[in-house]
Amino acid sequence: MGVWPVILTILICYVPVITVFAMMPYIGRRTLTFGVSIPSGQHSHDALRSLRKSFAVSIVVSGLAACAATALMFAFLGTNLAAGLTTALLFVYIIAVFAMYVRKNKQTKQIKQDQGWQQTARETNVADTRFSSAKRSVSALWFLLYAVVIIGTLLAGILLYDQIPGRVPMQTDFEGNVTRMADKTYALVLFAPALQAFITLLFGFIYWMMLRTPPVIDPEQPEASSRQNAVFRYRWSAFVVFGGVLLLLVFSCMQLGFAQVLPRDAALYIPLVGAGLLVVAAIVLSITTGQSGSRVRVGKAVDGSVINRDDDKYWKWGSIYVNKDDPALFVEKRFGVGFTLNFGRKGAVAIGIGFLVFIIAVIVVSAVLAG
Amino acid sequence: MFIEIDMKSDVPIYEQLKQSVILGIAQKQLAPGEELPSVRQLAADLSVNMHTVAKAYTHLKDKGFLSIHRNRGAVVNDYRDFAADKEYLAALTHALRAFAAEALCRGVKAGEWLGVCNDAYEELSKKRRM
Repeated sequence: MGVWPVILTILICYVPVITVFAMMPYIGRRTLTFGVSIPSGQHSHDALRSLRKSFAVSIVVSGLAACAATALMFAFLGTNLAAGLTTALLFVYIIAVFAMYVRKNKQTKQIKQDQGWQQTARETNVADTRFSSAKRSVSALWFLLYAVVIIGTLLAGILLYDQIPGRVPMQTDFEGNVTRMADKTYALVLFAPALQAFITLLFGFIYWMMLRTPPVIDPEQPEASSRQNAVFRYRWSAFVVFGGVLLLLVFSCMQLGFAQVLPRDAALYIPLVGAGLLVVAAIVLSITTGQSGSRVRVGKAVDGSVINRDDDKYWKWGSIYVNKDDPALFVEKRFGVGFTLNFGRKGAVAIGIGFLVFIIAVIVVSAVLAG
Repeated sequence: MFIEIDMKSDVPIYEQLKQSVILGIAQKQLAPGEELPSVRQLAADLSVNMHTVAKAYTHLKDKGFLSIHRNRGAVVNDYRDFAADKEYLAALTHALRAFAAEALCRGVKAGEWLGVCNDAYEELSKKRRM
């Protein structure tokens, strides 16, 4: 076997994962470190800086070790078994990263206590009454484009039906050999549009969720942080809407691949290129925008000496939000970029379960349609 | 405008909410006709119970500051809707009596008392003119 499949696998699986995890402590709000509320002026405190650095180093070292293990598996176990084990190893790595995070969360709490920061802590919550009239998302009308792509893909499948050969490749291994074929049926031309419909639902849900998540406004600098929150939502809504279109087009290419309109090599590489573009865009957006827009420059950053909003007690392990008194279903994450659910609310728990059911439904339906 | 709530304060949250809306109108950060977020939205933004926000909105409506519309949510009323009337002046006198009593007990002189009252009033009306 060649060395290229190994390098490709490592690049595809590990590089973005390691990058994303290692940069997480650096893209958060200045009032938080490892999910612990701190005075924003203490964000560059030596103890916290060294915690961030040691986290990033552990992430990179353990990530490289996993890379090396992957390379060895590919060398001695055969490509397909190694590919399977790589997925498992990636999963183990993600759990290990979470464990490292929880540990850093505890250490940060200890530093906070040793420094006496929580003695000054206030619990100030701020709302901007004009936030909903700020420009904070791209137009929902863009979702019409999704409908156009789905209908186009379906029509292409119907019109080009005669060109589809009796059996079409559904899956290839890392060396480009076809490992699974599907018979030509009418269900086959429904496969891509059905997945596109699922993606539309999923991305529509994320778009709706982003609009519903309350902004996190820093009492120290309410105007600046309200602006940052709006920019944060606007950029990510654009990412979701146009990233979703890109994903849809990947499945349109798959449909065209069935009908042999696209060469087989193209059908093989387009999904990789599409996924790669999305990952790179997400990383660039995370670095330039930061969680809650904390890396968007709006005037001079204020160095606060006290904690204005200490709600650590509602965050289990610094990551799971449980607050029965908070009517918000969605909240901004404490660590990394994105949103999470308020598990103190039944509605949010229902959404979480519904989400799992949805994913399972997608897998089942695609398995049925693909034969 | 920004509404700030101190979750640890002895002042009830609905009272803080009420005061900050009135302060916003006084300083012209909230203009007549301006819409306030829905009860659900403001409660989520402040991480407080919806009943708390609903209570504050109802009190503000009773005082004439807000109108609650079925589809537009809460809207700031026109100035004449909450212009001082006899009833309000009576309530103001009553509320000030409590403060005056404590000031008297603590030996605050009449001139000093008027000065403090004037300062508080002037500070806000200056911001209003800006």
